[in-house]
Amino acid sequence: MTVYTLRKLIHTGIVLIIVSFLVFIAVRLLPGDPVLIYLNETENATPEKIAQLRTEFGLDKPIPIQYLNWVINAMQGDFGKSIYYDISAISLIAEALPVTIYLCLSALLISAVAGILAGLICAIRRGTYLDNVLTVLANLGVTIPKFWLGFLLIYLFGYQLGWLPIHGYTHPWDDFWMSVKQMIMPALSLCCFAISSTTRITRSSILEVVQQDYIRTAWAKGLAERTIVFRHVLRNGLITIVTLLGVNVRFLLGQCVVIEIVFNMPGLGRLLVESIFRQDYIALQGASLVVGLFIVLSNFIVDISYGWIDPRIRQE
Amino acid sequence: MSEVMSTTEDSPEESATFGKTVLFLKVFFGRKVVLFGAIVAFCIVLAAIFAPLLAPYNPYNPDYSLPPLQHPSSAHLLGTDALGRDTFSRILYGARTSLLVSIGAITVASVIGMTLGMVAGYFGGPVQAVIMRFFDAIMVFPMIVLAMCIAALLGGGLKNVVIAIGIGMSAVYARMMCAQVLSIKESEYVTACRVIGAGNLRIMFRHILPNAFPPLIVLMTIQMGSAILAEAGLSFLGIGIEPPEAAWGNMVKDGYQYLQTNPLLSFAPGIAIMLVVLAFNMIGDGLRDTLDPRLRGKI
Repeated sequence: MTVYTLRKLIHTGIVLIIVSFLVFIAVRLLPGDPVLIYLNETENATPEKIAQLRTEFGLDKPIPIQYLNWVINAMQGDFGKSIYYDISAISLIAEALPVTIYLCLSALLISAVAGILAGLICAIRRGTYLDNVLTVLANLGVTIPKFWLGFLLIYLFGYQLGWLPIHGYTHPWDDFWMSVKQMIMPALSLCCFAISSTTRITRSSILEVVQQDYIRTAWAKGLAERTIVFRHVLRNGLITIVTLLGVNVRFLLGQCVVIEIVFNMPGLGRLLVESIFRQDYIALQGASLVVGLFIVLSNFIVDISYGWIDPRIRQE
Repeated sequence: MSEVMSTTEDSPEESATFGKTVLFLKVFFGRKVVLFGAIVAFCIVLAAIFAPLLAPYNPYNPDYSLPPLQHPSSAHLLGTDALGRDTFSRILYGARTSLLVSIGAITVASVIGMTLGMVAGYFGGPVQAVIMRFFDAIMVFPMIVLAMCIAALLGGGLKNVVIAIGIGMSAVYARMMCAQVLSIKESEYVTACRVIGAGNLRIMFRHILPNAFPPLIVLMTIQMGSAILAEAGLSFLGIGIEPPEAAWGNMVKDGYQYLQTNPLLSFAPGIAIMLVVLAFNMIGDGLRDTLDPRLRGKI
């Protein structure tokens, strides 16, 4: 297990280096000169001022040096100063991050519990009415555009029934009930896809396990259904499900972008979109690096849990 | 006709493949869900091709004879938008955009992903390490974030959206191709090819590619839907297809302002998106179950 963990750690490190380089290069290739954009805000562009800002932003040095400087600073938590807001990018990100984490975690939790449960029910009661209904729902769920589902919910619960606020975000420690109310619709529209795909994958992976000989043996020796399902079936279907949870983290973080725009939440996704439109490439760099970091971390956790669940993988 | 007759009668090999195709079609369309998906997809493709003939109005010309934001009526099946343009016609033209983007994006993704995946799997060692680590890093970014950055880099518009989504999706193809090639290149017939002196390129494209293809075809069909969803998402964010071009994502977004009074403006294009994606998913699922049931749960 130690060797396995170390190997995964090295792999994660390499990927992280490539990710940071991609973020740096991609953002640097974006159109528009950041210095001119910055000066447009303050409106006094003399050649001396431009040269001075270039030095201040570190843009006068060669690209590899700029990259190294950026990485070293980023590791110390300094992503540079946002071109648009004139405050440090890290404080922008720090402000936005809790919103996104709150949203994604609630969606991940709902999707994991509801999806695994629904998939399990479908597989065990295969071919019944309940299975058919849930399977159709799961098939529909992966096809709905997330932002459209958001509008649908806003129309129903916001305009027609008037139960929930149509947009906005409140920290749970400021006003807990308001925060929960505002989170219901975004979390639901965000997790719809994840619930559906979890249901589908759980169903097929459990169906495969159920057909194995040792499950028949377990039935034959007279174990209770509950024991068979939770001790024997679920445990062996876990590996596919864990993979899926890892995929879901990446997916949820991506879809957050759209959902945060629909519900006007000040999260990381909105920061990404706004930075692109404002050509605020320092904030964009920081925000995409943070998104990348989170996903690399979740991939690492998934890899480690593979080894933990399935001893065969560890020994490879 | 007579040619077909003679080939099926004369060569037993030909008739065997013919029989196989019939069997494949029978199994494939045997499931009602797949049949439904195929019919819906076929209708939508027809609607997209013949949009200029089917659409009752020009999707870009407002109808000034009536005030804008008409509710559905016999003149305007789904009403009109804020500029007085016919929603139904715009949805028909939107089908063109969606299908073009998804076919284009899948082509870009599979060409990039499959070529690099094949090279990685075939040569192995450091080549594989470099290519696959690169795709690992690309995979780290959510597709929409990646496509967003690429679209910002290249600018909006149909062509760039296709490239952005294509690059965003290419990693899956590379991974799958690499895994396929890794197992296929160990088979005896590949060794035999090498023994008789076939070059690397010939072995890769003539001998390995056809055998590695079936799961990739399934992946392509299933991803048609994802590409349409991605395009809708990008257009919704305002980084995708630029107005006045009719795209479903744009239409949902434009309709949002009138959600309270004219909910159909937002709802109709959304239902269109759902229907197309559902149809392609059904076909993809059917294709997977017919071609290779072992892939179930993996794609």
